[in-house]
Amino acid sequence: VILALLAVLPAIAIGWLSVRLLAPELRLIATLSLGAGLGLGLTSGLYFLLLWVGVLSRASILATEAIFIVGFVVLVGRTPWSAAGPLARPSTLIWSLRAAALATLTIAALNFSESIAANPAGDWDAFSVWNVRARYLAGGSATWRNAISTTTSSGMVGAAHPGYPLLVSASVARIWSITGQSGPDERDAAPEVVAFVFALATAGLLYGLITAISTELFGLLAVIIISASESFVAQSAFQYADIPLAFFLLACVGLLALAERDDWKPNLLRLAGLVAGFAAWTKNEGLAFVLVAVLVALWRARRAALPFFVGAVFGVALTVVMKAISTGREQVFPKSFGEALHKVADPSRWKDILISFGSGFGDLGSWWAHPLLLLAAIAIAFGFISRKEIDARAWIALPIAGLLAADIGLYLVTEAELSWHLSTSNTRLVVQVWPALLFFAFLFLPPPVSAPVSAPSRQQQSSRRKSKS
Amino acid sequence: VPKPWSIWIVATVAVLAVFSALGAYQNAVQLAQAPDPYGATAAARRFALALPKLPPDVPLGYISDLEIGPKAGTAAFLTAQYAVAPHALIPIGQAPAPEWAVGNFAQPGDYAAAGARLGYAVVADVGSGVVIFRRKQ
Repeated sequence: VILALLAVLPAIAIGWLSVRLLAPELRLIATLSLGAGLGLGLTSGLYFLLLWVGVLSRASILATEAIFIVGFVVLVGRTPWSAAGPLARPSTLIWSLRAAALATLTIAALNFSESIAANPAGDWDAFSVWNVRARYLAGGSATWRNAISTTTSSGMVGAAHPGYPLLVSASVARIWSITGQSGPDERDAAPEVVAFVFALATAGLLYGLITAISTELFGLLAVIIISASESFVAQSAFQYADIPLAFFLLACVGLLALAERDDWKPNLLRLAGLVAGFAAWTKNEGLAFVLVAVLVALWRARRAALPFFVGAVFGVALTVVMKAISTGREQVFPKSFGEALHKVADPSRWKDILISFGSGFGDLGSWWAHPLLLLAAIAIAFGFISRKEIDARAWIALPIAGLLAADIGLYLVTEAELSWHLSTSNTRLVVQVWPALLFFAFLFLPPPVSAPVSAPSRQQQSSRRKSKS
Repeated sequence: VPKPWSIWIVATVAVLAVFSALGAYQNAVQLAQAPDPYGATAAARRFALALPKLPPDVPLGYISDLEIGPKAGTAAFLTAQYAVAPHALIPIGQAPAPEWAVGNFAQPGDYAAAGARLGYAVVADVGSGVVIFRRKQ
C-alpha cells in the first residue's frame, strides 16, 4: 500500500500544481482534491501515450512526469500568489460540523477498508473489466492491446468492453508499472489506492467548491451527507470507474459555476474543460456529458467559452484515439435504427427504467437518515434563495440532466435484457451524479450570513475599487 | 447567524448522518463475513503456481469443466482471466488454438483426457484444479 501511495504522489503533485496555476484562488482542500483527480487523469493520459508510441517503462514514466513537475513548478513560481482570503472565524457550530464531517469520513474510510479487506480484487466489474485491463496495460508492448481487444472476456456481454475509456485502468497500470507489482498478487494495492484517492477527493472537492461558492457551513453539511450515503461509500470499494466519473462531473459543474461567478475567467473555464474531457476518458457516459457541457458552456459564456473547448481536447482526443484503435463494438447498442425505435416506443421499458432510477435514489441510504431526507431538512432550516437567483443558477444542472437523459436513452435501446442491465448498473448511475446533484442542491440555499449569496470575485472587487478611485 | 431552530435541525442532520454511516459500516462488516464472493482472490492464489511455468505474455487457451455462460462458469473464467493477466485467456474453439493453455477444473477428474479431446497434452498439474497444457504437434 505504501509503495502504491508513493507512486500516486507524482500524479497528485502534477494535478495540484496545475490547479495552483489555473485556479490559485481555490483554498488548500479544494486545490488538493481537484489536483488529486486531475493529476490521475493527466498521468493516465501520459501513460497511455507512452504505451501507444511504444516507449513505456518505469524510467520513461518517471522522467516524463518529472519534466511536467519541474515545468509546472517554474510556471507556478512565476505566477503571482493570489490565495483566497482567510475564512471567517469558525463558530462553535462550524467546529462541531467539522468534527461531525471528520467522524463520518472516518467511518466511511473504515467501511471502505473493511470491504477491501474482504474483497481485495474488487467487485465483479473490477476484476472482469477495469483491473484486468490494467494488467494488460501494465504488461507493456506485448500485451497492452489485449485491453482494447474484443477477445478479452471471451466477448461476453457485460464483461467485454474493448471501447471502454481507460483513465481508471491506466491509473492502476501506471502504479503497477512504477512499483513493478503487476502479477496476480492479492496484496496488489494499486486499484484500492486509486479508488480511495478518488472517493476522498470527491468529498474534499465537494467541500471545497461549496465553501468557495457559498459557505463552509454548507460545504461541511455536504461532506457529512455524502460520506453517509451508503451506496456512494459501497461503490468506492468496488474499484469501478463510477466514483472517478462522479469526481469529474462534480469538478466540471463546480468549476463552471465558479467561472460564471468570476465573469467567465478563462483559466477556470480551461480547468472545467480539462475535467470534462477526463470524464470522457473515464467512462462512455462521460462522452455524453462532455457534449452537453460544451453546448451549455457555449450557450452561457458564448465566445468566452473557447478555453473550455481547449481544455476538453486532451481527454476527448485520448478517448477518440483509444476507440479508433480498439477492436470490436459495444454489444449493448442496437443493430438498426428500426430496432431502436421499436424499443423506444415500448411504454413498459420507460416504466421499468423510471422505477429503477427511483430505486437507485432510494438505495442511497437508510430511510430514517436518507440523504435526500437530510437535504430536505437542511432546506427547511435555511429556506431557498430567491426565485430570480434560482432561475439564474438552474443552468448548472443541465450537463447532469443531459447525462441522465443519455443514460435513459441507452437503457431504452439496450440490446441486453433490460432488467439485467438496470439491476447491474442503475445504482451506479445514480452514484455518478450524486455529488454533482448535492453541489447543485446547496447552490439553492441562502448562506446564513448578511453577506450577498455569492461573494464578489476578486476581479469584481478590484474593478469596483478601480471605479471608486 | 443561523436561527436557533435551524441549528437544532443541522445538529439532528449531523447526528443522523453519523449513525447512518455507522449503519453502513455494520452492513460492510456483515458482508465481510463472506469474503471473496466471486473467488477472484482464490483464483489468484491457485494460478500463482502455474504462472512461472508459462512463457511470458503468450496468449493462453482455456479448458474447464465449467461451461462459460452459467454464472459459476462465467465467474470461474473471469477470475481465471484476472489471475493469469497479462496473458490473454481465450476459450479453446473461439480463435486459432494458442500453443499454451491452462485448465481450470472445479472437480477432480481425468485432466489429460479433457486436454486430449481439444488437442492438448498436460505439461504440469500444479494442484487445486489448475493444469498447464501444451498443444500437441
